Amino acid sequence: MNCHETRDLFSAKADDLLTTEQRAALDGHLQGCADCSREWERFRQTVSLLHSVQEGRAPAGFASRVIEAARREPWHRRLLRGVFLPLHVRLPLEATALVLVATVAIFLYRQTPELQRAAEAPRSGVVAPTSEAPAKSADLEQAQGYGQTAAAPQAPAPAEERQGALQEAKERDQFARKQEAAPAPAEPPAAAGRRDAARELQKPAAPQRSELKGAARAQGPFHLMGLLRPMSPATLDTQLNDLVKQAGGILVRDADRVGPGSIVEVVIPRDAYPRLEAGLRQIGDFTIETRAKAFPGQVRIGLRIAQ
Amino acid sequence: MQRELSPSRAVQPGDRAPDDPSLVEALRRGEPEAFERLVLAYQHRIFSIALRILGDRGDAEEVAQEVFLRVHRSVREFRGEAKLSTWLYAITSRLCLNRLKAPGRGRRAGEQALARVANGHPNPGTTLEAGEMKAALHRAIAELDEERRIVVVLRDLHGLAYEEIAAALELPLNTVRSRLHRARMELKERLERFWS
Repeated sequence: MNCHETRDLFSAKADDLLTTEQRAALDGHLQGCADCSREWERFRQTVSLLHSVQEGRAPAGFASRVIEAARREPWHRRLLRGVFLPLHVRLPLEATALVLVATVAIFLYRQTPELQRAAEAPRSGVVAPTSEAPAKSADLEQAQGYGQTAAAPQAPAPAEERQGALQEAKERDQFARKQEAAPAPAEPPAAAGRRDAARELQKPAAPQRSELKGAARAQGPFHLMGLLRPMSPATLDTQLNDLVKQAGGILVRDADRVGPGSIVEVVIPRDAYPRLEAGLRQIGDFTIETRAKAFPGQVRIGLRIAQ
Repeated sequence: MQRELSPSRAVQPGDRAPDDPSLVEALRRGEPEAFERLVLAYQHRIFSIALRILGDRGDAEEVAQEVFLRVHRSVREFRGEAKLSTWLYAITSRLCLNRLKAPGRGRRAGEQALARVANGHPNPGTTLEAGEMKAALHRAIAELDEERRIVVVLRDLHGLAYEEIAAALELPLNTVRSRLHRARMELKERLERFWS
């Protein structure tokens, strides 16, 4: 080890960071080199003097001033600190706020019927009149025929179908205005549709027959209105019932038994209408009074039984 | 309104302030009590480092106060990868260097200020020669290059480990070693007359 290498290790020696080998080599050199030995002694004294310097003391009242200054932090810094909270604080806060907002929203929704109707309107307005699928059960047909939401599980209608449905609804409404027995509603059709849909949504999934009857009367507009003069009034009820059943439709009576002076409602699939008309002509003298330009998938027919 | 702090809680010069993890957690939670504990524990050390580096008590007090306020503002971002004390020394060193490099602050002003610090606070009971030696030492420290001065202040005046200095100054360990060695050798040369 030469003098240069030896002096390079002075700091490490002073801090006791030398390995055993380095220490042995350095000490060996110092014993044989007077210059390096003298330099080491001065170096050691310098470091010792540095270590003897006392730590300065902060002025009196310094801590109080700092703490006070931290308390008086400007408002914009406090605001920024609040906005940019660390994630471990911010996430639970945001989650709690979200739950609270959702709870309040659900509570308000349940307490406000208007909100429920507004939320349900788009569903009922579009889907109900577009039902083109053949009926699989009388109940399903009934629900679909009355423009209700039973069609909801079906796939959404294509644009043309939707447009056709709207056209049908428009025509049905115009037709209804002409009906003597069922005056047109004073409110706009869209509003009426929304109201009907809302009313229907509140019904059970499989409505009772009597409820359907009431709903049928409330609808008002028929796609076809006709007058039937039965050849045999005594068997009219049975004949009419069998005919509608065979056509795959339903019959809504306004009395326990159909007879002269009754007004009945028949709902059948559009395809079954020719068969129904033919059957009616066999039962008696059937005259069409009013008829829509086009029938929807489920045709609602008002049938007056002549006296 | 300023509040007098309990003397019993004051930290004496030379004490090593504890790196208490619970203190860091309490600071993150924004507990005023925790910040008070931090200031009381580190005030003398931070002020002293700033004083030895800057050489002016007014400057040192301003820097030390800014160090604590920065900690107060940003402790939530402190990840705890380094020790709290290392973080404090890093902020102190950076602020001191910024102040030294500030326009209008000449090297000479710092040296003169450091000389005033040395001369203005003689250690009672020491001999004249010892007093002179200390004053000479402070002057010599003031005349060191800033980079060397910071290292020697942190290591020899405040007892930080090499690794702590490297972390605080974001320097390689070997750079810290070499700067410290050169600083000590330079000081030895400047104090040559006292060794003969």
